[in-house]
Amino acid sequence: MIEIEQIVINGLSTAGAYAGELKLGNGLQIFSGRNHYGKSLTATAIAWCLAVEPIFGISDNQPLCFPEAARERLDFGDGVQHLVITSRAGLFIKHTDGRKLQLWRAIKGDASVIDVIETSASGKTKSSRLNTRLETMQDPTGGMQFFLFEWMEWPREKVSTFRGEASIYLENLAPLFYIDQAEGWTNIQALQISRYGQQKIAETAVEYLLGAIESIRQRFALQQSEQRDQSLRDEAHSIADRVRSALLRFGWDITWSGSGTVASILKRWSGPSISEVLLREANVDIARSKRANIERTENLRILLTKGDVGHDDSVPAIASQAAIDLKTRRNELSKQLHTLRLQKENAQQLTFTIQHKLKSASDLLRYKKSHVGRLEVVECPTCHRDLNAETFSLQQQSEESVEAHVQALDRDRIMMLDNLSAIERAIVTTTAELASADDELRTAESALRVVTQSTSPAREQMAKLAIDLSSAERDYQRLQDVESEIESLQKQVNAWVAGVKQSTVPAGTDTDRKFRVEQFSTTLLQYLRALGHMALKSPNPGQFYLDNLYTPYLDGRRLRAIGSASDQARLVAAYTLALAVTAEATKGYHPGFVLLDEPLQQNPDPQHRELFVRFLLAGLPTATQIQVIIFTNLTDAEIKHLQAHGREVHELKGDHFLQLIS
Amino acid sequence: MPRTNSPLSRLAGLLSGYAKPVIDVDRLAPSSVYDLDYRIALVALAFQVNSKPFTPDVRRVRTGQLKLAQFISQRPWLLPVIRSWSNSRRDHEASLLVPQHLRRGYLADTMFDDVIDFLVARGSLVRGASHLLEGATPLIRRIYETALQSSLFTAELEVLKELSAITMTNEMLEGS
Repeated sequence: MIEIEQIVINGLSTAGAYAGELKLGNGLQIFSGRNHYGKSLTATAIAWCLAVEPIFGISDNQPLCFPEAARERLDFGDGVQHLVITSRAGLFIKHTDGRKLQLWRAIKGDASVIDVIETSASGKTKSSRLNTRLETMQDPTGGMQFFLFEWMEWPREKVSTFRGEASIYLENLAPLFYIDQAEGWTNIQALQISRYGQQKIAETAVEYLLGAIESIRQRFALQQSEQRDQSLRDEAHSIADRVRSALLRFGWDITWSGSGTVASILKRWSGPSISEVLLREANVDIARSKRANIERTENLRILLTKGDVGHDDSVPAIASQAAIDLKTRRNELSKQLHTLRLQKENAQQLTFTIQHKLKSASDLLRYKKSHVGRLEVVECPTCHRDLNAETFSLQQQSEESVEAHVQALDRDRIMMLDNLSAIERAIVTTTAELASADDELRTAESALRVVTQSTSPAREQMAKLAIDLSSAERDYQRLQDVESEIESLQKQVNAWVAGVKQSTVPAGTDTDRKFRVEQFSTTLLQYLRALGHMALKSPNPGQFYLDNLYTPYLDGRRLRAIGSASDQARLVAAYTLALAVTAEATKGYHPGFVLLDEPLQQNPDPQHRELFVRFLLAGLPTATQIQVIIFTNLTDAEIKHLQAHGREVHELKGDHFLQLIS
Repeated sequence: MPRTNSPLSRLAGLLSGYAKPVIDVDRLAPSSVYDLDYRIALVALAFQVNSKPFTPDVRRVRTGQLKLAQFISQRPWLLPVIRSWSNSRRDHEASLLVPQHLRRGYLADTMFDDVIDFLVARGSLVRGASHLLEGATPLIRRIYETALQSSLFTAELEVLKELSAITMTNEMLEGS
């Protein structure tokens, strides 16, 4: 753990060099100064030097968290606005093992880098310049956060994002030890960053500070596993679509589903291959067709080159009949396709009707359940007697009745969608068959032309044989293409199956979490009571616990929703302090300091002030090494009272933190 | 309607001994088109979309227009028919091609007349010679506002807005 030794801001203005510095001791450090003294400027300097300014919702490396007066012009009490030429902030840190660190970052100047001066326990110093944002956690040589986590001896842990993974950054942890005046008091982790897309980052940050690293790793492994599952399901869906549409192009409609869980798809795809399903469902055997085609081609070739063609004069009749048969088939397919298209149009219209009715019925159900704007009691405006709807042949249906109608419509919708999908598949297969029939018809017509132009029966037979041979060879080539396409699809399926079999199920435990959270909960309850949270004032306030997100609950209600308005600030202060003290006890990865900026401004009423001062005297444990830094504005009486009881109160004298150096 | 007297239950009784019918009468549900709340909501939406100020505080709408609007809002697939009917108003030959069953459908919508009677009786609407006016109780406006705030009946509202852009002649409203 660390403690802050000094905070410095210095630079050059048109009036000359200026500086402001604050020295800090260990334990409770209270800084009391009047408004506009620059207390928040000093607090901001801590966040700036640690490069956690994204918690303020500003762009990277933009010093917009500082007031404009500190960035652009300064008033040193002479009533003149002096332009700021350069400005930088420095943070002096001491580790419990004796190592020290100085972090210097420009406020006006190049804020994308930070100058670091390390001092080892033996007194050796080393200077370096690090990037504040660029690859900050990934770059082992120039990343500021990589360096800082190493120096603090903290593990670098990962969390899942919606598209992959990211690190836990210091700015994810800061909202739990750095309570900013403007927003920090509005809620627990009010400054937590959501725009990085890290999943469950708020609870992960609590676990990190408490040191429950196994729990974080287990969650990450599970999230990664879920993401992998989703990606595998998407891939399976895409492969299945490709398989179905490829086979439909040849007119074969088979069941090859990529829906369901990864385990169920794996079981399905580890069974029969695409060729086997094709044989079973569409009675298509490519290998057998190829063998038959080779035999036919060979026979035709032998007959054409060496065979006795004889004097058969029935060839023109056969060729003519073949063309007629194909024409008939083509017409039938064309009619079938026309009917299917009409069916599709009707099915689409019916589906639209059902969907509209379903939407109306669902809205009606919501309307009935909301009880807003509906007729409850209806009376005649003249005689004030109840008007019965049934008198007007009208009925009000019950919620159950409408719900049953919604379910019935939903069943119809699913049935119609299935129907529509089947029609669409039939259209694709029929179109494919029609294209094939067209092709065959063209060949048959061409054969008939050649045969009828031949001058003798022998030539007629020769011509017919030549055309048949050419057609058989074309068929063979087509079968080859189909086979290689099916092979390619089967390879994709096999690769998917192999990939799933290789993926491991995450193992791990979160046993390091339970006792830490229990201790945190106990400490938090103690601090809430010490700070005087109104909901906990009665002797038996109810069951207090932290839920899975580490949100405090009292008797099933969020504690944030109970109590007075000033209890928000008490809750945030108690949560932050309890977490720090528990992390110290459980050897967690907490920086070791807590900053509370203006806790009394959240509710300046005398009772709140009195409770807070009493907490500073008796509420905080004395054995802790946690450095608690409080920037506030106390009355003289409060300062004397605290100092009389040994509390370190620094009175901030003068007009402003920043002064000209004479 | 008691479930035991439903036609399907009677059919199940007749078939017993000859077949094994499995009929779950609880799954049969009347269409929500015949629910009073739904129809009042449709009237409210159609009224607000189609009505025009009559006095500074009161709006009114032609009864026939309201009847047609609420009828179509339940059946968006009829919008193209209405559009072509409206477009054919200056073309007598084309008007012959307009499906007559649409006219029969909405003229025979007696439930609309019952709902209007009910709303008039409770003072939410006032009946004029050929118009309906807002009544003293603000039910119509309240339902419309609830629907907007809660995004209820958005599909119907969309149809009504589309329909309001189509010119309605007296002939289309059967002279009302």
